[in-house]
Amino acid sequence: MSDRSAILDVNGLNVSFRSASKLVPAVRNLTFQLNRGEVLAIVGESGSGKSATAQAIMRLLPMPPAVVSGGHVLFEGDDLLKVSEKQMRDLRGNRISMIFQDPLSTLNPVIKVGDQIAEVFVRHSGMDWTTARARAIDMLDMVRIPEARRRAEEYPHRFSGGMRQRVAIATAIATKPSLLIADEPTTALDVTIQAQILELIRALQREEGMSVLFITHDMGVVAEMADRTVVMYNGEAVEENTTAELFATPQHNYTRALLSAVPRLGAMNGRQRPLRFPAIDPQTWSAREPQETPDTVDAEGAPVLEVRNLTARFDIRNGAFGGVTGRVHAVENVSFEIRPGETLSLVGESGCGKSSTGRAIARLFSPNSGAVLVDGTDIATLSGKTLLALKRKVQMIFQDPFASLDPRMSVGAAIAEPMIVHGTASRDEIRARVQELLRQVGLKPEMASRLPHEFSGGQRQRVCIARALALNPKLIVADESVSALDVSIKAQVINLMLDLQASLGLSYLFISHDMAVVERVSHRVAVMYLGEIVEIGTREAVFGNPQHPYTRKLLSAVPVPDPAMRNRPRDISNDEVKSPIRAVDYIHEDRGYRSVGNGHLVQNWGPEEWKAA
Amino acid sequence: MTSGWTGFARRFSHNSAAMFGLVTIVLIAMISILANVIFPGDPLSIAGAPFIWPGTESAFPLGTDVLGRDILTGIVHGSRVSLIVGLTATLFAVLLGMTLGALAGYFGGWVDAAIMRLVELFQTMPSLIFTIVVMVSLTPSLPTIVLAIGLTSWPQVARLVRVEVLKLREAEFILAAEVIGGSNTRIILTHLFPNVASIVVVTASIIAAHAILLEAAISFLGLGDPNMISWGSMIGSGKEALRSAWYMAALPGVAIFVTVLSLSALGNGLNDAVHPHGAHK
Repeated sequence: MSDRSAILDVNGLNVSFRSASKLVPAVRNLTFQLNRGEVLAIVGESGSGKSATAQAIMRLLPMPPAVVSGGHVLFEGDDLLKVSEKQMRDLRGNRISMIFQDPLSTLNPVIKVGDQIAEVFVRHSGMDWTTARARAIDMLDMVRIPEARRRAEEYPHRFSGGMRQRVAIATAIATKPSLLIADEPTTALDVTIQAQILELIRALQREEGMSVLFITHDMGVVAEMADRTVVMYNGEAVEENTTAELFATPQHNYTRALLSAVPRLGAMNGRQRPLRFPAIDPQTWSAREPQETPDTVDAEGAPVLEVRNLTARFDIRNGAFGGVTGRVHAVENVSFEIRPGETLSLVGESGCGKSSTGRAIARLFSPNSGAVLVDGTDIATLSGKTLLALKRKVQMIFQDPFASLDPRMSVGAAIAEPMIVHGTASRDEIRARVQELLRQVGLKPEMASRLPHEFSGGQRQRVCIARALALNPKLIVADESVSALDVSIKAQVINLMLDLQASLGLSYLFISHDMAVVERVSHRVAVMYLGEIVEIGTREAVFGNPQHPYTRKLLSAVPVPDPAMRNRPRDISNDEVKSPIRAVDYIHEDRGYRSVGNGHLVQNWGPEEWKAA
Repeated sequence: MTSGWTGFARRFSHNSAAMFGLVTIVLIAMISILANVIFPGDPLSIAGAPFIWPGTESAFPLGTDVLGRDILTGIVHGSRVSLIVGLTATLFAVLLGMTLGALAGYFGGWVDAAIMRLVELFQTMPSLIFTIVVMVSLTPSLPTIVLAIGLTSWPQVARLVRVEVLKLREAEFILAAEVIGGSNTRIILTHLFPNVASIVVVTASIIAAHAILLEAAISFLGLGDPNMISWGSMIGSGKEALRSAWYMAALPGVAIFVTVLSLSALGNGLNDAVHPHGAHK
């Protein structure tokens, strides 16, 4: 384990992709060594070539478009770029294993989980099926899946995302590989589940003495996991160092820029207002200190949005006659208000009802009960012309900048669409306003005639913001609007949103699972769990003095981008996120809230649910 | 429409089979438009002696049939019926199929259930038998053939459009259009139709080929319009002399073969150009 010889020696690796007639380089002259028993992270933003590197090592690149030229990849002395396909098959899944981002697609849905792991033993170790099945159960135990014997007999669809990733890990390490390549293994998972999986990989790495090549975009994950780190930008390694050194004294400007754009939980202690990210010059990657945002909240004014006892349930129909077999209690008795110029964040994990709340407010569906008051008028019950008029005041920005623009409509037409629908302006006025809006979100007015595919992810999100601003709304519902963006782009879009709040007095309902971003942008925060708000209050109060056990659990699960904090005591249980699906006859129990002062409300909780209180 | 269109045009023009299909279809269309200029007069009138083999008399390069009608004139004039039926029946099927398919996919629920039952009703009937029944019960004329073929072809368009709309329905740009306040009609017309159009065009070329074959089958059985010459009716009248003068059936058969093949090649080419394999970055 303390053997410092290199298990993987990558030298001068070049990967390009053939597109139309030219070769586009993806990885340029990459050199690094991974030592025995070491965890090496390759970190970079999308397009940096980190995944292409992992796939080139595993020889998984589709070879007609991809071209691997020059260099060598020595694994235990064999050059992986030269060995025969048959030798490679024997290495893959045996001496070298890989886990992927999406645990949904790595498991075969029609084979029992235990058999999928047993197959590895049968194929690579030549065991008979009976012994292999017994070993498979041991493996499920090893990755901390409760009741392994029973779960081995189940099919993948009965497993949650985190549990599937555990199964994928069990399959990957079954043959005791000397090298495990993990390509963004926790990116698709909730933060509490991410913490569990990272903990698991770390523990297994120590127990088995594996070497791990960890591919990620998340500096927090790097700090939690890696002994050494390679930073990639545009196909090249710009910096390589031990993780501790890299975080303490980054040498390359890009690394510094990347680190300054990473939101850090706790960085906001002692501040009351949201804080912009440092502005980064893309030429030199030098960062300027962020300016303080002005006080935008109109504490005296009437609330822009008031949500009272909002409840939304969705029927689950099953069986031959389509009878209701259960209900998703998506939103349960949720109440809050947002003042002019204020940002309220809804945080929680997948299935907690935060998106459903946002969609009910934007009237994408009608809630079962409760009131949504925009400027004092309840829009939950309106229809027709009056609803249309109120819809102007609430606009929405979605998560995926690649899906939220019509691919066949120019961005100018997309931004003009709300004004055409509402008939608020003449043709010439609309054209002028589109140009003004493009300028406002930091794009060029002459870009109006281009189609969405000509824009990058960050630019598209700017177009979506421009479209949302077209009708001069008072409130913007931002549903995970920066979650799909790279850190540096994320920082820019958040800065834009904060600037617009200052200049236009906008209110935001900021829906996110990313606690560190939420801490940065919010005035107030509401934590949601199983459809209910469990804690709500000022950002300072909720982050500085969290009361509810779920809030605490969520905060302690967030990866901290500081390697020195790696061994901090944390509350990581192997619980799964509970499901909001209930039986048809389920009656919701109203627990009530207690006040901790200054508008900080915490839901009462039962001792049976939360042991650590 | 700048770079999306040029990429499409480049992929299409690099596909030689598709280009062959396109050129052939354009040629056939020009021939049928200019039929009265190239060969004026009634193609059904007797022009010379019967049973003249192709290549034996310069006045009749493709010979004459059992009654002495010129086969080349017949093929040139017959292309009109084939193309008109192919084009109008396809248009009918596409309009009906897109509308019903989009409604089913967009609204879901009972609208979807009702439309899909209707689709199944039409799809479970064999298209040739259904067309024959319509032809026999109504007057045998060109509009009737178009109606009959259109009625049997729209369900595949409807199914295709419904599935595409179901996929697009949850796309964020459709949700964004709803948040803006766009009406259902506006969303279907400005956002959904343009995004399914490319796929519908591909199916349309296949339907057109199918419609030409169906029309030929109907005319072959003698159920078509007796006053208009078509490739199917020429094969029908040639079948009596199949053993002694096979060319009478074979030549219009070749015309059908070339047309249908061209349409299929065109459809495949459009399909490949719309969905380039692994070419996205």
